[in-house]
Amino acid sequence: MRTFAFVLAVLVLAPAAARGALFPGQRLEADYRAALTSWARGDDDGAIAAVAGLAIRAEEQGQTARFEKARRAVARQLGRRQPDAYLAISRFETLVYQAQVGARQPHLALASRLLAAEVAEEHGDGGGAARSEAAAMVLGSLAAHLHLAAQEGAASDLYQRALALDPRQAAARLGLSALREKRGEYSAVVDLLSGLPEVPGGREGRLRLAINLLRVGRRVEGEAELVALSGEGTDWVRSVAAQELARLLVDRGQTDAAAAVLGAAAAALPCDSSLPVQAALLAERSGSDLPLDLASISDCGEASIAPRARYARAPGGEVRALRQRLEAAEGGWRTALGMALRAAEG
Amino acid sequence: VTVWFSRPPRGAARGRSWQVARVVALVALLLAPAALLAADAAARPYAGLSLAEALADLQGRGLKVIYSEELVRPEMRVVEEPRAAWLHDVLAELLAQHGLAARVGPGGSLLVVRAGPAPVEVRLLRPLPGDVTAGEIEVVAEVTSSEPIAWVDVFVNGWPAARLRSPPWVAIVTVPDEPGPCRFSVVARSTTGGRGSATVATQRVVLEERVDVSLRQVHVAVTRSRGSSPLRREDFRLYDGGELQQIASFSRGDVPLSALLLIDASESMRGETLQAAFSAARDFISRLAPDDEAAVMVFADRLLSLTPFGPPEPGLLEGVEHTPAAGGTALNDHVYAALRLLDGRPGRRVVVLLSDGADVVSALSTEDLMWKVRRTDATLYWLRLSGMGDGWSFMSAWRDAAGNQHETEGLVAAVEESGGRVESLERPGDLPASLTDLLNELREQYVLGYYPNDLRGDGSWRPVGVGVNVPGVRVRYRNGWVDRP
Repeated sequence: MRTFAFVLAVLVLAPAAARGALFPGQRLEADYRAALTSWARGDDDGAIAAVAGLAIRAEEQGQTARFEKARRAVARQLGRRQPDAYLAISRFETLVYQAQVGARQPHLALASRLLAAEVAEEHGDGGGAARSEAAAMVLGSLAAHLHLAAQEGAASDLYQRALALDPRQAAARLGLSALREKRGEYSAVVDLLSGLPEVPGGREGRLRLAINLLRVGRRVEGEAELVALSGEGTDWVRSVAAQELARLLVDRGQTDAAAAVLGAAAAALPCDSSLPVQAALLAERSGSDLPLDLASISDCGEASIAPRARYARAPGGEVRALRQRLEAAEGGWRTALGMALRAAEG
Repeated sequence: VTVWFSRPPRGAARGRSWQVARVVALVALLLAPAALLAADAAARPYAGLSLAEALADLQGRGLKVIYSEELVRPEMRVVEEPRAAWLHDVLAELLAQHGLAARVGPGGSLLVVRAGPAPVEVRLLRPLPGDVTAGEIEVVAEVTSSEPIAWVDVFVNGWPAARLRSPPWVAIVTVPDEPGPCRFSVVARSTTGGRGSATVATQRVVLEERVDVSLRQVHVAVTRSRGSSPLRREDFRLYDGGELQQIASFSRGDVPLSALLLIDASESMRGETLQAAFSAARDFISRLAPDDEAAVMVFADRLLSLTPFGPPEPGLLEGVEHTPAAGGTALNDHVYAALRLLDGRPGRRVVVLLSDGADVVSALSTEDLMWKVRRTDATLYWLRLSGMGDGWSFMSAWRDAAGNQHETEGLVAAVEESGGRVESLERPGDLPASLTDLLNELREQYVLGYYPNDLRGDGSWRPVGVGVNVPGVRVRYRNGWVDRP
């Protein structure tokens, strides 16, 4: 009778076990590993689609939490074998996150984003400056992505976590300072961008520091930096520096000096409409009449972004540099992931 | 969708193979829609790559991009990371960085072509550099292009002066009475969007004497019950600096308009709102009288398009009404520029602002704007499209919430100071009716002229008051003016 009952149980349960119904966690882990294997082999689209599809299926079956747990378990398992596998998984989950956001699935994307940050930190916490720096790179890049998408709370949190791992990362420092500035925390911006051997972010960082030095009452330092930035270059930084310096000079009654600053910048940046507008008003207020040459500005087309709008956006140059470094490192991380997967399989 | 198994099925058992095949089919079915969605959206970082590498990646993602090495050269690199989510938009952004564009080719392919059409060459034949110019002069240009020319704009000192639509490219323009050299610019556009321009600077004749005309005009908008008889000169009381003035001239509704339509094309206006704004602008222009004149300025955080002042023809919006929405809003800068454009224009000067937003990135403040409003006789109207409401506040890199609120209130104050009004619209569809009301209001305005008693020219503010001795009548007018030197 016992034997009969056992055989009956085996007959009933075996197909379900084969489909993973009895051990869904293991099945999800296996599917996730399969997707990671695809990605490690370079099939980005297939791997991302597979995880996105698994997330949808898990949600439909009420197994979202189980799927997240399975992803964490696989990440830890692989990360213990090859620490760089953490970074690879973090990078992969960032791509999954971007795909899910693009597919308007923010609730699913959140899990990918949190996992991407978590496994990167797990790598960074493993010790060693190189590991911290690499983990901070992944976090900084993800933060910049969120910053551009106007998810400022999450971006701020990730920038801080990146800086905790690598205080030298310019992209995170600059990004966080931009967010702090928007919240009116000007002293925090000054703290973030000063006291280092070099102002992070080059001209962009120096401009942000200068403007916030003025806001916290350190006029001499701020003005000196604006003078330097407004006198050189043909970038948007020069335009904003010239505008702010001119405003400062006008406040002090030095209208001729202000006009000269604006004129020089306008000559260097002929497609910038804000400089001649400000110069025209300044001239009008001073009793002279400076023609406002809108013909040439209108002729410049619609491609450029206004300098003051550019200042208000997420940092550009440092983030580009960060992403280039990420891309350069990504190949090695994928290899590590592949090795970890093979070791786990064996 | 590629599905890869870490453990391929062993053995040749038929039932198991069938089961595996079913699983494969099920997974493929489940993943296919997600893959289609994600494939379009999963933009990878392209900045730093060569343009050819980026295009190859897009080809790999399913875009049938066809290009020649002559156009996509190996040294071309992706400078700015594309921000778009969809592959076609990503492609457009990548190409735009190098003056290229994609056109749909056979079989749905995307051909990479030069964005800029054939060049347009412009040569100014008259005046010549260094000529002495004064009064009305003839500007003669020679325009050559392999493509038809859509129009030629003539600017004097940066101000639009004429638009020509067919050769000969000759315009009669007035040299402004201003110190310093005078700059004549001619900008030509081909029908495919090609541009060319030429500029010359001339010397100006300096006028030794100047005669100030001291007649001032006050435009009075009147609200009263429908069907009431028109008001008469003796119904009005006009005060300047608190002193009752003698009304020297009196007219109603027959003053030609110089109207500048200022259209906000920032990101928040994207879609239906911006289309409604352009449509309403077209309707507004069509309702102007033949002796009125109009110009259109489209802006966001920067100037996007500008037409010269011209007769109210339907073609006035040509070339600007397809301006795509993008970027933030610089209201103060562009309202100031609009007021400057209207300085010296004939007739009743009006700026009609169609915008849903608040100023985010202007270099000028509303204090600057107020300064200008008090020194011009142009009237501002702001048709405030659905967007931010009165209690809405926001923080930005340039101002905190209180600062931004102050700017919004400042703009409203400047509009009211000019004698105009702010009208908040619930829906973009309300725009045509509002513009019609506005035009009727302008046509119905009374114009009171007077000679101020004691012109001082000391830059002081002279408050103006208008009263009407007819019950049930409300009046709106500019509250004063600056006695300029």
